[in-house]
Amino acid sequence: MTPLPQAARSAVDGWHPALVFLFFAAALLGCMVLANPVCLMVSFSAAGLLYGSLRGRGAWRFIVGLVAVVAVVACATPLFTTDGATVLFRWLGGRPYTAEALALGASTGLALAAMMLWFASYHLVMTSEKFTFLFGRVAPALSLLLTMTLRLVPAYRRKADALLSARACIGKGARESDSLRERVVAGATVLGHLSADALEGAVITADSLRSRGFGLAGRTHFGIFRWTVRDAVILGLLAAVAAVSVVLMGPWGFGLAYFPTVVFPAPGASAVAGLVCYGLFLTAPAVANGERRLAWRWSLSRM
Amino acid sequence: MALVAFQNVSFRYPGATRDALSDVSFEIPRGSFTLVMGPTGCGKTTLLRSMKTVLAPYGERSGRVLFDGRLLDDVPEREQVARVGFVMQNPEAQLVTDKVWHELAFGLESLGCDQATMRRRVAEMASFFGIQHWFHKNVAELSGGQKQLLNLASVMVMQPDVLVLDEPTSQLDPIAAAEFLNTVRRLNLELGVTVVVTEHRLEEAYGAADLVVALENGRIVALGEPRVVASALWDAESSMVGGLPASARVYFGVEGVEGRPAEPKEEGAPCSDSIEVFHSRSGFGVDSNTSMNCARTPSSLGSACSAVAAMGGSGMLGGFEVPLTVREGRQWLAAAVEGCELGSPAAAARRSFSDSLAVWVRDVWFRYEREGDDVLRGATLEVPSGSLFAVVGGNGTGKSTLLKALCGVVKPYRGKIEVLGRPLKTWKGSALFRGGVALLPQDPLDLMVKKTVRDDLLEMLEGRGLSDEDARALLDDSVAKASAGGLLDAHPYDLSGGELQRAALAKVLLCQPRLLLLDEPTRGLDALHKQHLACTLADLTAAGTTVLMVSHDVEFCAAHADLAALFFDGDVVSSGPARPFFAGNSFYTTVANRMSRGIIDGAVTVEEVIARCLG
Repeated sequence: MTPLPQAARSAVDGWHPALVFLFFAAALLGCMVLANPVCLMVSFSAAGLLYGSLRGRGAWRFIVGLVAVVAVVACATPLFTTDGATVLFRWLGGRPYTAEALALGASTGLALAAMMLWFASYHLVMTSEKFTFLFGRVAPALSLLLTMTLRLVPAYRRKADALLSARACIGKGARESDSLRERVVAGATVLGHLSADALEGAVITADSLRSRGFGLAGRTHFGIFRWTVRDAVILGLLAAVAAVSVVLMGPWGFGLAYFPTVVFPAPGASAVAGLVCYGLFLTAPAVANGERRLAWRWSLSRM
Repeated sequence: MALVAFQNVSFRYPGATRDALSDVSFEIPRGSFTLVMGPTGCGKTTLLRSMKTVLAPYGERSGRVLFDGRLLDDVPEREQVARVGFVMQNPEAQLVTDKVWHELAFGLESLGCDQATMRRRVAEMASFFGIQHWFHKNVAELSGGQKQLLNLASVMVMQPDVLVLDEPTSQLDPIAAAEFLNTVRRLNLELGVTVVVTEHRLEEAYGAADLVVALENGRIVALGEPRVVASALWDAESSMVGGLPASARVYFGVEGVEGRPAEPKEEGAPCSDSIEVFHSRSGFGVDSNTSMNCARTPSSLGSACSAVAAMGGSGMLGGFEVPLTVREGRQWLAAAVEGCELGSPAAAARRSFSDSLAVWVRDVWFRYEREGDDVLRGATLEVPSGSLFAVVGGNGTGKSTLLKALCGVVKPYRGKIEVLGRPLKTWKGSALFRGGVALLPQDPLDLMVKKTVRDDLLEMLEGRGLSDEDARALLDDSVAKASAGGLLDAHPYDLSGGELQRAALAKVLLCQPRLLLLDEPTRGLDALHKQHLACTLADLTAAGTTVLMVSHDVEFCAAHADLAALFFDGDVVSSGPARPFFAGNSFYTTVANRMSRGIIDGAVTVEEVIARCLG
């Protein structure tokens, strides 16, 4: 996956892969464990901020799409869950459609959307080489497999484009074949050729691997990332804030009872403080990105 | 002591009827630049692969390959990985990781180097190759030339003693190829790495080599210093002469006429039994006065030769050796034509073309992405019916895009295109490709999608409502025109570059095109196959087909095209009849023209230079 220009210049991109990985793991864990809708809202907003700081304006489309996801999940949940005291209407021969199930659906949808947003940012920041750097030592063969697979996807796409355009230029393009059957046959032909081509390439790749000593005992791993003092400081701060937020929020953050009626306990002072800490923790990378951009502007203005 | 020595090596693939290598013996001295040449299928690849145990093909083997004084098979794999670097043809498939920096480090990781060593070596090599600017990129973003340089660099980080390169530039355009070969030469000169390379493109590599091995049918037919081998090949009337540098071909053409030395040359004779690598003589020395006599007295090659041999060196000493580069060629030619009457330029056999245009392109603009740059910028082109029209120009100038635009596959956002006298938009459905236009893509393999060539050809006839007889007649006709006769039952992947091209051409001809478009038709073809292609194209144009080709191959275009145009920055900047066109360019022209410029004006091909020299 190609890191976008903003992602390449983002501050999070400069964090050590381990730090990045831990942060995203914690953020996802937060989405699952801190199921209180308020916590989920905070998580979703923070994830949106981070995604926006990485993608720029292109982020809006995806975020709006996720709002639709929340709506669909919310509306669909009462179709499967009939629990809940407040019946809004009945359908399909008296099946109740309840407000409580709707609320549960909304909160589940929100959790899902937040996780998807975190994952989207994760993919932008945690590029394959960072992943292989982290896990290469644990599972060298597996991480190499992953790297090679990642390389194949764009290569396949390019080859398929070349094939299709070559065929279009002798009148065998998709637009020429009128019937669906012909189209399917033509597609299968191209697909068959793609796999033949991949096998052909695989023979050469295998030669190249062996020629460069893959499979010799005692393989080491080269990494271009270094754990710096800054990484340690950020990790310490983040860990402290996260711990404090969980302790302060306590059981309030873990969620609420939806059935038979929704019970929403008002947050106490400590829960509010915990919530603020949670927000601080989650927005840290977005803030770092924003701060980096401001610093850039400032230093550019002095050039 | 020799770094690598072949001692009576023979090899036969399982089930093959003849040896791929037979009784090959020669030594590769430390630090030398060795060129292995020969026609397609002569055993070059088999020979090179025998230099690394894990790559050596399976089959019956006899004789010995020694590496650094030891039997190669006894050298441990770890040592071979580091000391024998191998780069193959396909730039893409050789890459094993997705990041440039990871690719560079891969070999060192396998060898188990520690971080500090890896960091240093990777940094060193990245700097040497100028890779630091794309160090963090994905390999998918690189151009073919960059990929091949990366392959070379990721072998060089292991600090090999010998670098084995199997046709490394056959899939690159000439500019990337020249850059690659220059880098290889720098490695040889600056780091003293021993280089063994096979090449189709001898113009650059031949002059750089210290030692040339000419193979034919698995046997060494000539071996030694480049000039000696060139003379030997010329004397043996080998088909490989066509691949020698243009300056050498002009030299032989002028020197060799009538005055072909009668006695067998002691030094240049095919020396397959000899394992003596460096002859004390370094080639023909020719007295300029005698040899350049345009009154056509036979050159006294023998005596001149012994004179040089007596001096025991490689000096020029008033005489001239076989010139291998443009510079040497110019020096020799200037002396050669001094004071003698040159032939007049042959009256250019101008073919006249009908007034009708096969292609009419006016002010066409196109870009691939909304935010991207324009690839075609007001392109304007006219191609007369029945001509062989060549468009030359650098990489990424939009030549291939222009061809796709003519097929209607790429849609310009401004401008007009007429094909065969009709606006492109009025060609509906597949009518354009039935008796109209057809494009042979850069990689002919993109067209071959079936298990045999025959199936691939039959695919083209499906759904056209032809009777069996008509279909067969059309098939036979196309196959005959493309001379793809013997290839019908082969799997496309088993064909060599030249054969594959003929098969793909047969497929394209089944469209019965009146306008045939060719994208880089000579890429990866050796001299013999290029000649084949030229004949086919001549037959097609004689039969009234218009051929429009885009190519980097200036030599081919100059020799065979009727009309030519230079494409630059998305538009045609100059065009005209091919000969005057190339004679008027100073850089984008043939080697023969660069060699003869200012000495013999207006000569474009080797044959012309020779003819003019001889009056």
